[in-house]
Amino acid sequence: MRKRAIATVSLAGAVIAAIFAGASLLGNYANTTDNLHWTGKPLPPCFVNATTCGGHILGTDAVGRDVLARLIVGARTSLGMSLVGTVCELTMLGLLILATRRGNSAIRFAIGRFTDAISCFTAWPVTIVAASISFGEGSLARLGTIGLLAGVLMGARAVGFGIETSLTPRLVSRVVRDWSTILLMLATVDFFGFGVAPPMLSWGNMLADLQANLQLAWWAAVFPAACLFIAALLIQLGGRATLSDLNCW
Amino acid sequence: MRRLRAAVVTVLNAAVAAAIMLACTFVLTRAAASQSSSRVAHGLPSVIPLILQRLPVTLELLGSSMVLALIIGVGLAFIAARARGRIAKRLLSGCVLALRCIPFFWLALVSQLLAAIYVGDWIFGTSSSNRFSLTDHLAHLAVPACILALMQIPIVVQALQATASRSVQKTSAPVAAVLDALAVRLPEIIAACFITEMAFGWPGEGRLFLAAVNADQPKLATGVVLLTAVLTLLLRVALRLAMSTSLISRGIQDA
Repeated sequence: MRKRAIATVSLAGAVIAAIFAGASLLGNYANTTDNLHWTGKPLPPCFVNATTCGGHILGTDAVGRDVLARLIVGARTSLGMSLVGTVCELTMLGLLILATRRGNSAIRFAIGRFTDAISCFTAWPVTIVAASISFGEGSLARLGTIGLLAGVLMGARAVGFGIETSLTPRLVSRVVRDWSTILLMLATVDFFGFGVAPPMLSWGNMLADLQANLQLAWWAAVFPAACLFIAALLIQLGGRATLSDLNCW
Repeated sequence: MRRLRAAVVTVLNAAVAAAIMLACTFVLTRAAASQSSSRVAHGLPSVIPLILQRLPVTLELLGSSMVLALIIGVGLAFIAARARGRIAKRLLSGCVLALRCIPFFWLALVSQLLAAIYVGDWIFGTSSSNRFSLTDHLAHLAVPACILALMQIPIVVQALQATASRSVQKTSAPVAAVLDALAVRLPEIIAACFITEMAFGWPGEGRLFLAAVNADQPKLATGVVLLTAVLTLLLRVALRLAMSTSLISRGIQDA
């Protein structure tokens, strides 16, 4: 049981790390604006039609940009941003645990009511409102605000789940699994156009033209969603295996 | 006497949480309004009727999807519990996990497109004509409610499975466990409801929120966010009160 859990954690971690590292290394070399093979209509992926794909393995989008290159660059932003959110959540939970352990009953009461209040807010609508506040700021400041807010909201929700205020396997597993929730939540914010803004790429903002792409080039609407799904699935499996693994120790 | 005291404490705690919620929303609204370029100065009192007008439509979609999710979720959990082989259980766990990992906005928009192709454009909105007809209204409600239920089924199934696996150690009530899980996840469910409304042209709070954000109306947008937060808080308080007064026997919360 323990060996199997360790194997699952290792596999999920290795795949996520490989995607992240690959995206970071290849991202600088990926040409996301190449439309040399632009023929007036999007090129299909090579597995659909090898003769007309023009070397674009996953095809091109509605305006002739290589989908694979965009996915690689988008992976860096999407996984990186959600990781920032997860680190913020872990930091917030750490501070809450510290304050609960060291503080008196008044502090514990304040923390309890604060998490009660914050956990009632819907995540992506609040993030969109907060993002609209920092529209005037640089993109890094806005993305930082979004990541921080995502972490705080998820941290409050984790407390709402009734997690013991100590560093238990359940808490670690919850934070790992929340990474996937943050990934999907930030993708929603990007999809609505309030998070990562073009020319920066993320899997979420690649889906902004979802309806048009579904009719013109289904691959441009399916592959970013598939990347989000696979990444979220791997993180969830990793989180579950972490719990079994830590419980075995 | 002890139950009454517990109920009073719950209500007081909720009042303090509501005050914190209001303070957070006030800060957010002020900050957003200071950045807004809009000349239309909606005050919070002036947006309240606008927000409340859309509330019944959202509650209708939310309620019907919850009922659907409960029926399907309980059915699936029952089938998995009765199945002797491990394949059915694994299949159910796999489906539950897959549903949790699919980006909901993608699922809703793809479903909308497929529904438009195979069912027709008439399913968008709440009715086909100005004259109210119950069958027509239910026909419009069916697809969005099913899509929104897809998001809630994993919550119901996981809560029931957690209850079943712990029932050997402690006495737990499945009803309380499911209600607990739904209450904790209510903000996520409402967020998914907003997306469903947007996809299917359902004129509720979600569409109002997106219209407000796109029209640079921060007070209207934060008003919608505050309303959903208050609704969540009220529901949680009602649930805690029901549990503290033993109307619903206390379950074990596990998500």
